[in-house]
Amino acid sequence: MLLSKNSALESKDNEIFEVEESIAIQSELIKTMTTMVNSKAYVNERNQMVPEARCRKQANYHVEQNNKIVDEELSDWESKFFEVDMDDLHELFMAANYLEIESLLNGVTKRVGDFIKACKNVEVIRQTFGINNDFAAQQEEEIRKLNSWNHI
Amino acid sequence: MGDSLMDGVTSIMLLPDDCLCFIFNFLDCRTDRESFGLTCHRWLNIQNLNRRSLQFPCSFGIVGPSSLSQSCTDINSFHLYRILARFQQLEYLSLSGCVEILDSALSYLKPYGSKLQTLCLDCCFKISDYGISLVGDGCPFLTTISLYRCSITDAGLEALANACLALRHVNLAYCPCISDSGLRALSQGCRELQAVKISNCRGVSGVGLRGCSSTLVYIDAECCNLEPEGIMSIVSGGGLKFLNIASLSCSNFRNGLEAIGNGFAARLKILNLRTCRSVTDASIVAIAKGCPQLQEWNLALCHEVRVLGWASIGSNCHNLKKLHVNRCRNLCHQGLQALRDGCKELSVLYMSRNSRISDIALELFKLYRCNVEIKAEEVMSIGPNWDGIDYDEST
Repeated sequence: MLLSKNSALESKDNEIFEVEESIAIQSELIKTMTTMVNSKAYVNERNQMVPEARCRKQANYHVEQNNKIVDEELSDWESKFFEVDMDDLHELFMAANYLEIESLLNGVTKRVGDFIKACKNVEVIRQTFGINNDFAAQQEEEIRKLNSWNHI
Repeated sequence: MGDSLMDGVTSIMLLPDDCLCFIFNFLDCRTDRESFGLTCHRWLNIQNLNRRSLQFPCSFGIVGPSSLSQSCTDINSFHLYRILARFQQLEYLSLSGCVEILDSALSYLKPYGSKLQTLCLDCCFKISDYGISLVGDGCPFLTTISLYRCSITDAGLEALANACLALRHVNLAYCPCISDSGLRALSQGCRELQAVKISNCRGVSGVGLRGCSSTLVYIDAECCNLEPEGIMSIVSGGGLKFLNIASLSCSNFRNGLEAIGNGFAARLKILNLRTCRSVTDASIVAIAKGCPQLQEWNLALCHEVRVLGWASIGSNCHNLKKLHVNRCRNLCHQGLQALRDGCKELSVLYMSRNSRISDIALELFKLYRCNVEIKAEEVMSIGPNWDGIDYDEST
């Protein structure tokens, strides 16, 4: 599925992969860099990126797949894509945030948000995400009291 | 959920703050948001930074279990300090109903409340001009303020107007100590003013609004002691679209309302003259000709409107969609016919207890104007709310 215009993107760990330009510019970051470099004259452009981890590959993979699949299958595919452990979710989050890919960001946010919603109380949230409780008992009590004062 | 999440023990804590903000803003119910904030200090900070609006349980309009749990008479300076110190990005704050709040509590607005755009102090009976000056001092970007039943005086209003130049919506309903000089300071100082509510301000005649900005599109002056010169001042800005002068107190008004039709109120869309018992045909004719964009007109209980007036409405009000004529003693069949033959855009006629309208006249109307809905209800309040107005130059 190669079109005439491709972007060659290099990740920090020196992996190069070809991506259709229309997909590559779904990342706001790449879009900005592309327009800055003035790619029109070139059939194959080469953009140097400075990402931080291999997760960039995953981000591009997602975007690519997103465009290939028909709508009905998309939501199925998406929910499977996000059924990963916390470490991977974290990497996806960082990638989506850095590359500014809105659809990916929404997907990851929703996944984490749904987990929080499913937790019955604060203690369960802490356990699920491994968060250390750094409140003194009295502090926590004060916050709960403050919460009870007001209305959204 | 699954066991897979248990493996990534501290990954979520490595996310930067803006990612945590995304997650927080995804949560839409209060319980989830509070749980988020209770997990640890860092998440509490995210919650606090993202809170934009706050109001207390007893504020009007909120009914529910929480409104029973705490009376607003308990809210005091200490509470306000804790709330403002915790949520420093607030844009909307309502202390309405907090009857025991003192001026000194508002001193916390300066260090913590500078981002506020809307402040409601309805029924804060213990707030005086000094408290209002603290509002001006602490919230220079205020655009909306509500002071229903507050004991603010003209001096306080002037200080507020001089400090909060960006004010757009101001509610001074039932403020007994406000007069035209305070209004003058407000309209001259705040050139972006869009909506003013001065209903039941007994000390106001209307002249204070002379020379107001053309951005002033909404004036609610119901039950005021307006004078003819006051009416001229009210329309002088040239931008008025909504005007409520129902229950005009002055019984000698007679032709004083002609000024509304003098050309300055050519953009008027909604006019409420309910219970202006002495408004005459001369005024009605002037308004019908001078306000071609009128869409809704409430003339309920305007007993002095007769055939001449109704005929003028029929032949001039080409954009009128809703007309209220409940209990108009001098709406007779001739007048109704004039309305029937004109007002091509009319879609609703509010009509009830019109003693001079026979059943036959009514049936004829329905026959000729089957697309006009006839409703018997008496509607006191028409048009949008004072705080829902947005000035739009193009309309």
